[in-house]
Amino acid sequence: MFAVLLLILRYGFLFLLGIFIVMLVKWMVSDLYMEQELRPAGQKEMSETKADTGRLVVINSSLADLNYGDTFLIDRDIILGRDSGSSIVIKDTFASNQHARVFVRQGQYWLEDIGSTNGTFVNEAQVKQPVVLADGDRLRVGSVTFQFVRWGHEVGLYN
Amino acid sequence: MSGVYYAAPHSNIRGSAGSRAVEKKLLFLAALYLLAGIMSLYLDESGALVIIAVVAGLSVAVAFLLIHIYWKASGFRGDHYLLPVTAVLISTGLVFLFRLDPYYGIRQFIWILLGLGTLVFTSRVLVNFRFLGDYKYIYALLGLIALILPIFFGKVQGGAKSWLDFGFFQLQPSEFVKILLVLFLASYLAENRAVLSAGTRSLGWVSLPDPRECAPMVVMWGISLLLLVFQRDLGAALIYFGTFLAMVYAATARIFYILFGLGFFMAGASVSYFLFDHVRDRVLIWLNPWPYIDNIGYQITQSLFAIGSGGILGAGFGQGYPGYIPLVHSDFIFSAICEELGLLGGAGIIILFMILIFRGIKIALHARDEFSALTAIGLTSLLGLQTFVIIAGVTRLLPLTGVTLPYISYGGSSLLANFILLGLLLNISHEANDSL
Repeated sequence: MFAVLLLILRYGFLFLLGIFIVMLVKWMVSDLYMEQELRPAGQKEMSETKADTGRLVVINSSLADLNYGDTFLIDRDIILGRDSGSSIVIKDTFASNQHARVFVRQGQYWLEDIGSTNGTFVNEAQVKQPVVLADGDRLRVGSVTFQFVRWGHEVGLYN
Repeated sequence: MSGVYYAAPHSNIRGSAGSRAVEKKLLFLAALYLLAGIMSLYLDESGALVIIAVVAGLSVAVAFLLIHIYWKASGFRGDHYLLPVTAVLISTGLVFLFRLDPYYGIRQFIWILLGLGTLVFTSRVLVNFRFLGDYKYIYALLGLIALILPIFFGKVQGGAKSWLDFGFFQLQPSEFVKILLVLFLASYLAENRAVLSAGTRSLGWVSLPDPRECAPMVVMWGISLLLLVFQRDLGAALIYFGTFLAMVYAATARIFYILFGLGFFMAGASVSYFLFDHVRDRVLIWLNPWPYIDNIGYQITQSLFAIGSGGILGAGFGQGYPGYIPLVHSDFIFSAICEELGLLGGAGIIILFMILIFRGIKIALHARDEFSALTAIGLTSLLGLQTFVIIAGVTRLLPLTGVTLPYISYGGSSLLANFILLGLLLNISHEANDSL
């Protein structure tokens, strides 16, 4: 009886090591899934902090699937366009399939028109070459207007 | 464009960090593991030693849980998985040391408590670790002094003259110098990254940085290698150099430096092969240890016998004969683990180290600036390389070089240094999680 207990303990030691690793991996994997849900576009530049991640907030839209106040975090390069593969889909007849691009370089957000038919406008001026977006800039594609927000916590634009 | 990005509307981006529930559960499992190990060792015995072992096991388990409680109470947001993984590695080491030689077990127990104290201290005092980046030339100087001292006042142990003798305990400065090296390189590379990765003058098809920019780096590296040759501490030299290359590559993303460095390393290795007897011996017993089984090859062949006799499930804890391997309590503890816990146990330990490295790289990716990212990369490669070098050494994948298996082998300097390393990694992840 005693010998059996000892045997169980001896292999229990190895067994517990296995259990530990299984639980560890299980929780780490579910952590990864959670992270993915929290930050859908993942990847960010090394030097910037999450608190000042830029975002585009819809302030004017005639489309059903884009409503006032909808917020898009820009934590990696994004494409705006009518194509359903775009990061932000704009189902507007005045929007091109691949309309404009917002990208992050050294902590600054740039907007570039990528050959749209009807143009991209920042503060109602047409974008000819890549421009740096500043907090509060209004970005218009077709009939949809976004506001670029850099310090989301301090701006009381949307409720 | 490259791929489809999905940017869904968000209302909140706050993470759920803060509660350390996973850490607690894993630490309970680790405590169970440690106690099962101690129990199976001493269940059929009695006497003072049993009481000491049980007390040691219980105290270590409780100490880990206390650290968890303290961190939870003080709102520390460091990585949740590092502490439990370390706890299991530490427990494995402690249990095996008690099984191999209780003398080392008891001493290791005291070192573990001191090490945990160091960990709490690091996570408390160095939580704003960024100021560490301001003193890089002081580190270079301190590191040099610490490496030079053993050459004059050192004591030879296991072929390496890298120990300082303080009477009742000995210190191995190179264990601590490796952390100073990482801090120096991280701070230096963060400052000069742009220059190093762009290069200012071209040599044929590669552009080289100005000699002035890389001079301090080359000097630091050359001197440390020279010293290690004088101290005959091959393992440490290998680890230093690998960490150096990993950090330079992480900072500049230029494969040229790696090739250049490997070339240098090959040259150095062949030179030392012809110059030093002990290097030649190591290569000899690596290529074929069997003719030397009675003398220089004894240790490695005993290690191979032990690993081989373990099989898949092992001989059972406490049932093997690892005592035949010289130095089994420090460099060769992995062979003892393989003998008694088998392939499964050995693989388990390797998986745990891989998880530590995975978390370390993750911390580096999430770090907030270059200094902390490079520090995290450096510390992680230090840990990974040291583990690789010794496990590869005892299994005869690489020539044997005497370094400790982090967190498992007996050794106070190594334990304390690795706990400081762990604390720094946790601090970097604490800062990254704080901004979430």
